[in-house]
Amino acid sequence: MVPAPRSPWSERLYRLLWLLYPEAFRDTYGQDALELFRDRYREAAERWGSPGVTWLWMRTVPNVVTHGLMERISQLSRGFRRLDRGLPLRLALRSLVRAPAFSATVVVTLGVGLASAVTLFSVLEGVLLEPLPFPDPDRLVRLWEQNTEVDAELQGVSPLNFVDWQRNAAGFEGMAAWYLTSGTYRTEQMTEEVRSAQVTPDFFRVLGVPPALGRDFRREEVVGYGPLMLSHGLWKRLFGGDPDVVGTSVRVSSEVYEVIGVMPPDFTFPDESVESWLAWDLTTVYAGRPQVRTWRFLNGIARLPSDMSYDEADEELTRVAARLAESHPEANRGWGASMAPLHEEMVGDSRTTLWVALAAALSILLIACSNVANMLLSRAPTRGRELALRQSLGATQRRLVGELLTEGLVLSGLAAILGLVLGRGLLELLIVVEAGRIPRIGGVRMDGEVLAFATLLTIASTVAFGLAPAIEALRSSGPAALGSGTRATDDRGRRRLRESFVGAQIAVALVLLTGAGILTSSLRRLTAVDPGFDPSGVMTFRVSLDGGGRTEDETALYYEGLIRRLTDLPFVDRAGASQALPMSPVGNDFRRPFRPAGSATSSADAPTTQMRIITAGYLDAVGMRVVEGAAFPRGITADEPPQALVNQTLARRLWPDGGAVGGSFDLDFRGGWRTHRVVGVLEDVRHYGLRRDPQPEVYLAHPQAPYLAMSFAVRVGARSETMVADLRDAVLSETPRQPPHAFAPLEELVDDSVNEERFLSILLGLLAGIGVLLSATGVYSVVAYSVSRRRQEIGVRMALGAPPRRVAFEVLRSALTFTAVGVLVGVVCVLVLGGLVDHLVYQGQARDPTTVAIVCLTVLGVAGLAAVLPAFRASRVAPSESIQAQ
Amino acid sequence: MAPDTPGDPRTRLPLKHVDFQILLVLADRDLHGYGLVKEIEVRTEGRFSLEPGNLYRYVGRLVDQDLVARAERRPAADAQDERRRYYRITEFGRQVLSAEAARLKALVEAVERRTPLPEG
Repeated sequence: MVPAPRSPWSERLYRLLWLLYPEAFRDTYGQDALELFRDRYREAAERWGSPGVTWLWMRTVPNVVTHGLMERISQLSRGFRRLDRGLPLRLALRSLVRAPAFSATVVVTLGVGLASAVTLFSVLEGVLLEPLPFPDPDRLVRLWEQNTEVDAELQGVSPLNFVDWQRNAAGFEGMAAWYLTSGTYRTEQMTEEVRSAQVTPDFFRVLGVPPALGRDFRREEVVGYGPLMLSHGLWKRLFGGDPDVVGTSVRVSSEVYEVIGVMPPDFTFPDESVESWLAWDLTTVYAGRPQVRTWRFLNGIARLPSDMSYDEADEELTRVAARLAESHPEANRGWGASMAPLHEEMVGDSRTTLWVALAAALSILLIACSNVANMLLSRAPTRGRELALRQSLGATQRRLVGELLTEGLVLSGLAAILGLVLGRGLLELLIVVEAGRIPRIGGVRMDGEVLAFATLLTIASTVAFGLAPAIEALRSSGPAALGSGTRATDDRGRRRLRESFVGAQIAVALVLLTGAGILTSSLRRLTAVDPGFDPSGVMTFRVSLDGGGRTEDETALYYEGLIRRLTDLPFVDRAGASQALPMSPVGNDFRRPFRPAGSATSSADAPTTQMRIITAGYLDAVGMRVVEGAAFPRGITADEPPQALVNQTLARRLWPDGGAVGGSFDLDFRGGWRTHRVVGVLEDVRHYGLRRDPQPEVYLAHPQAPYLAMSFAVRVGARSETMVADLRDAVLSETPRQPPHAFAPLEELVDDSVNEERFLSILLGLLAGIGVLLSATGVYSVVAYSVSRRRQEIGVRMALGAPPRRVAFEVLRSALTFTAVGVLVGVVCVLVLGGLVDHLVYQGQARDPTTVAIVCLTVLGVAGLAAVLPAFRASRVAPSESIQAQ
Repeated sequence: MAPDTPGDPRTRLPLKHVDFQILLVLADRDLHGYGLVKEIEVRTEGRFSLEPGNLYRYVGRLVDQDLVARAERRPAADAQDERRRYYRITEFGRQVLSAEAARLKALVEAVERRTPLPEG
């Protein structure tokens, strides 16, 4: 697809990159440069499309990064030239500026390491360590029902059970429940579908967050549904932030509710998408409907009092649930309660991802630090001579140590600045792309704790990598150092030290590269999984029809008409709808009990199946396949005996020996148990993401089980710019004030389902790349340095007749020796650590021998390549150098 | 470092190649960033390509040295509804440019006369 000539995304990224420039420069030229970029972008997009834009980025990123840093350095040096006081600082800076390439390499190496560590620490801190934004957040728990006899999966809480829990679990401070829905807000100016939560009256009290404006729900005022609480964002957007809205009535869908308050801007529970909360009294809404006890769809939450332990709470809840199982066996036999800390539940699987990512980032910092230490060490003898000279001219040793430490501090200070700037950009980027759909990532900031972490790292790296070389430099600054001669014995010890640094780098890089390799092939296997439908070229959106006054037949007719209208659009090939689309975050997903036809199993004992209510055309639109029998006949009506489609998983459960088509089974849905005849079997669909196995599914025909809110799938021929607008218009022309919402290409939804895997695999790939590159420079610098120190010795050997090829080979061999040791250590680490991350790998294992072998060869190859140039140089040493040097 | 007052134009010679190109293009007419980049690309047949990242460092240096001035923001002919920052050459900039041109000319003449040039 051709990108729009002006892309806010690109501009945002570009602005981020510009943070690399000093502030004063940004203030003066930032806007001008953005204009230029905009023009460049437009030109690239219009003339060459996506390849042009890619090429533009490939040129722009290195350009801005280099020049931004250069501008910072030149500004700093300008500033320091004016500086008169602070002699050690000035001297330190002078010595750094005198070797600009060296200083820049140190700063960039350390800066990149710090940036990755600081960024991922911010994420980890913000997501895992930062408490939830509620008072005493560790007292909050999530509640579920669970029937371990039927299956181990946690399910929602049924409204009637929830009411009884609330009543009987007296030890709890409070309990609340919610259910996600959406509502149509209609003002004179606009109509908007808003994601909402129906919440029990105690919802905000349990969380402990009072409204910013107005008041909280009162238990006694809630009868059925209402009143209404607005989010800060919705209040600003729809009502212009007018405080007088509180107390007025607004129309939502077909009802009128009083607005009683506005929540604070940072309140985003249960998630960011929810913008209004509708009070909901379960007792009145479900009075006189005992069958509701099996409808397990509520999200439950509770607050424990400060003197109640988690185990006590768990016990009490279990006791209450056990009593309910006895008093309502038909619905609750075998069912118990389950709870977990809210924070754990929200963070969920991201925990491992984040720790792995942080470990990888810290590894990069480790490699960077040891690289820098190496570089400083290699400079020690030269510095030694310089220091010896200054000592002989009267500088005290104390002063020299002070200077060397200041130098180290300045270097790591600059690196820290670079690290923070880069890190901030990286963090913004992670947030913009909602990396891996990690929960809470939107709220991640670089705060005081992160700064403290960065300072700590900086000081640690200064001491570790400034002190040792400083001592080393002073040691080699004895009077003998003034002569140009160097002693091979002294050198050998130092060389060992440097080689072991590089060996360690190689080990770490190998671990990272193996991780990246394994996760990438895991991701490849995962994305190759057939989801059971064809998401390409399918657009999805949702229509949440108002209930007001429509009979079920009218609802069915409405959707029939709408699908006809959509299919008539020139760019639409097929269209259909289901109440819950695969991999979509919006939709009413629920399960119901099923049993073989004629069985007497009660709802409580029966296993459950996912429910999908679909219109005609839906299967074709999403590209699902009928493997046996046929789809629903056209024109199926509510008067006919109920028919059903089942997926392969359910067909196997009910008819292990085949013969599902034509068979019957019972489903407890709406009016209690009813027998359904199977007309066809559908290929399994991975409804909950590529990684999760298919679950039993029943498909009912919409005319036989009309449903108000439906998600559409529209298969389009040629995608056009105006497609979304056209689809929207089509819905609005059928029902003028019923805006469709949640537009998303189905492919995007499928992609999102592997977001976390993709995030980790890209991140590790990136970090592994940096790690390997840094290790390669490590290998290069150690070998090059040792060759340069041994020129004299090599010259002598050449003079004595050693062939150049042999000299080169020996240099290579020494490089490969310490590389091989590093590789070995790395492999051992992989074997030890691999088990910890096995569960991140899809259909495979973290200690996959093929990957490990390939990675070992790659690392050896890269190290060999890095050593080739110095080896070649060694072979070109002229024998005469042995004489000249004497 | 930028001196506070412009002095003898010849003290600024020789000009860096990129500075020379920028001044040369601005000598004809005021231009905004994109215009400047395009014009230089055309004149040098694409051998000289400036990016948003470095253009303003060079231009900024010329502004600091009082060779170029930032003009007002005004609508650009090639983009509707969007205003662009224009840059113009200063009087001093013109003097430096012609001094550089004179220097180059002398150099070329020297080559044409096959005068041996100092090495370097």
